[in-house]
This record gives sequence, C-alpha cells and structure tokens, in this order.
Amino acid sequence: MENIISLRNLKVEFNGTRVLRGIDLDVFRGESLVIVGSSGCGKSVLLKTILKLLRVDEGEILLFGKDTGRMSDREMMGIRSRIGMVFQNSALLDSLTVWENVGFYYLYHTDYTEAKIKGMAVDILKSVGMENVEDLLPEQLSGGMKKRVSVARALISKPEVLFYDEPTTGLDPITAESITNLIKDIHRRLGTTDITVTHDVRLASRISDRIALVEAGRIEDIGTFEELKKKSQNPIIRSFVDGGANNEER
Amino acid sequence: MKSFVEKMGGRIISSITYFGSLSLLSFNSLRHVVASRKRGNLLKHINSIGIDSFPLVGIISAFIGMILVMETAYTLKKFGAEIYAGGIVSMSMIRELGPVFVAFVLAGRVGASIAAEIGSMNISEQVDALRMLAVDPVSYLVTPRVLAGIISLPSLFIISFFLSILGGFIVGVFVVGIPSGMFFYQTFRFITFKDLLVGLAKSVVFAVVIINASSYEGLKTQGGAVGVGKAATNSVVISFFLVILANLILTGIFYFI
Repeated sequence: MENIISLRNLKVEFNGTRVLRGIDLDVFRGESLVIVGSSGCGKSVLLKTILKLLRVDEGEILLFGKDTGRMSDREMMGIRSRIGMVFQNSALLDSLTVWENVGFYYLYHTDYTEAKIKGMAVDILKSVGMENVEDLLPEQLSGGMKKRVSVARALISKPEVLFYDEPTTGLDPITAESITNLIKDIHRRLGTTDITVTHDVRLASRISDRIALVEAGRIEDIGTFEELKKKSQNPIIRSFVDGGANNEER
Repeated sequence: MKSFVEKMGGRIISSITYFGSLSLLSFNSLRHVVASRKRGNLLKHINSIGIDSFPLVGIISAFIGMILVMETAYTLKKFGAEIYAGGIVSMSMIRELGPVFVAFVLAGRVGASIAAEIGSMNISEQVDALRMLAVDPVSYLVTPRVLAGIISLPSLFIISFFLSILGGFIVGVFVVGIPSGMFFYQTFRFITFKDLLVGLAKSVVFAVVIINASSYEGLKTQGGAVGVGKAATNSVVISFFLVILANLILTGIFYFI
C-alpha cells in the first residue's frame, strides 16, 4: 500500500513543554486512521504538526513522499491544497457567509465567477446534508451545522486526505451520531485517506481501519479496534477499548 | 548577578526577535501590496480604518487648532504678535502634530481593533483554516489593511490639517480678534509644498507601522480572551512607541533634506 504520511521520531515542544516525544507513524492511502488519547496528550498538536501549522523541533515528516522540512512555504501551500481539514471549532470565517466559506478556496485562487462558485458550494453543501443555508452567516448556525459546513469547505477542493480534529466534541449525542455517519459516508464515497483525532471511543470504533493510541506524547499502541481489544493489556488502552466496547453494546 | 545578566540578555534577545519578526511581517505585507492578485475587502477596511475614524479625527483636530491658537496667542500677545498664531498652528500641524496625532488616534481606535479581530481569528483556528486553504494569512489579513491604512491615514491627515486651521480660525478671529484676512495670510505664509510632502510621507510610514504592529500582535495571540485583551493593549503601546521612533528618524532625515 502507498504510504501517504510518514512520521519519523517527531518531537515538538509547545510553550516550553515537550508535547510530542518521538512519534513514528505511517498512514496508508485509503485508510481511516483514528488517533485517540486523553485530553492534553498531544493529539491535536500532532495533527497540526503534520500539516506544518506548528513548528517541528526534531524528526521528519513525509507528506506524499516529500520531506516537509525542506519545503518552502509556497511548496507547503501546494501540499495543503491536497488536504482538507475539519477543525475542532469548525473555524469558519466569521465575516463570510456560508457559501463564501465553502467556496473560499475557489474565490481566492481562481477567476471563476461568484455565481459559479456559489453553485459549487450549494452542491457540496447538499452532499453533506445542508440546504438553504448558503446565505447565512456562521453565527446563525448551530454547532452541528457549523461542523457540516466545515466538512463541505474541506471537501470542495477534492482533497486526497482529510483531517478531522475532534469532530464530535461539544455536540449532543444525536448530532455526534450524524457527524459520525457523515464521516463514514464521505470515506466510503470518495475513498479519501482519513486521519481523525478524537477522545470519543465510540466514534473511533465506528470509523477506524486502525487506531493509534497516543499517551504522554508517544504512540502507546496501534492496530485495529478488534486487535487492540484482544491483545493489549496496557491499562490506558484497556480503559479506551473497554469504554468503546461498552458504548457499542449500548 | 548572573540571573540579572541572564534576564537582561533574555529580554534583549526577545526584543531583537520581536522587532525582527515584525520587520519580516512588514516586508511581506508590503510585498503582497504589489504582488497580490486579489485585494479582498479593501473597501471594507478603508471604511473601518478611514471613514469611521473621520468624525473623531475631525472633531479633535478642530479642538487642537482652537487650543493652539489660544495658547500661542496668549504668549504672543505679550509681544503684540498674536497675528502670527495662525502660522504657528499650520506649521505645527503640517509637519509634526498632524501626522502624529492622526497616527495616535488610529493606533488607539483601529490598531486595538485589528489586534483583537486577528487575535480572535487566531485562537479560534480561523488563521490555521486560511493556511489549510492554501492562503497566506499575511496576504489575506494584513496586506488589505496596510493598503487601506496607506490610503486612509494621509487622507485623514489632510482633513485634520484643514479642520485644525478652521478651529484655529474660529478662535483666532472671534475670540482673540485677529482679522480674518490676516489670519489666513499668516496661516499659509510660511508653509511650503515640501512641508506638505513631509506630513504625507510621515502619515504613510505611520500607517504601515501601526497596521503591521497591530496585525503582528493579533497573529501571535495565544490563550483565549485574556490573550486577545493583551494583544489589543500591546498593539496600542507598541504602535505609540514605534510611531514616535519612526517620527524621530523621519524628522532627522527630513531635517537634512
């Protein structure tokens, strides 16, 4: 299988604290990898470091086979345009309407007419279950709606890889379930490589091909949900896996 | 003793890093003024930086003109020279007070707002979202504001100059009793086109300094609402300091030209 992302001995210090203490990880084309761990263990930092949104102190990151450490900002922008990201707080631009947020990539990078971009945005919004919201401002949307708009924005540039940072955090159980289904549906429909960071074990068990457990800045274990459930005696992993299993039974 | 030296060294290094990063941001924002294909929201920023500042700048300028005429006339009267009050207002406003005063109003009113807005965007991951959309945050967030500042601040300076003359005229003619023709004659007698160019050049530099310093504070904001508050405060303090520093340097340069 083709290796899309490779991390080698990745170390990151953030605000004077060592957050990542040597991460080695390979992500393969078409898989859905879920990174789980308790709050503050470095999951989100790992995600942002892969995308070079945070500075790397040591180690190597290969995206699509290219070493990002040697890339200029311009080259990195080219790489980022192949990746979609759904942020924890949705991160929609406050001053723009929903369709402008979704179509921002094309508004900024192309000379397409606004009518054409709005049409594209409306189509992609429909595909994530959002209709008649294109002219609203982000402040007029609920948390779940913002997440869906954020997913639509990530999808519009037809990315090969999708990153989700805590996609269900702060949502009620029903909305969280619908977002989980949406992530699964997009992965199945578009065949993207997904990397999801979460501490929601139910989400992890439902969407993952593999799960990596991060604890104290290191990957404690990695495997399928079933493998981890069977083999690992690590108490941290057991608490995660058993929590997930209980949730599944419910 | 060692810890004192370490502290001082640390502060010197962090100051150099700060001003180095700020210079780099200023260079990049100006580079994009020329290179950027899209000038998103330029009119919106001209509105918030320039047009919205006009009432405050206008009223305060008129008051400054009034105060200057009253203060100078009080002293000049002792020598029977109060007719020169208008000239002193225009000379002070065009090269020095006008650009600096408009810059201070802008730093307080607009600088803090820019730092808070970009700071909020930073902590709510909107700046990262721009990067993920292959958009350079400097090009999208800072450059249009710098361009709007470069257009707005010199315009406000010109308006401020004429309104201060008007304020000075009202007090000079109706309170001090200077004949109106004499007031205008003395007002424009000593100022030259070069003085106007000096004022305009200072306004442009101050605009670049204030907008970049405020944007920089916004872009390095961390730590939630407290961080946003700090960024807004720092942007005003740093802008005031840099405006005075730039003014000193420019005044020195123009003294010899």
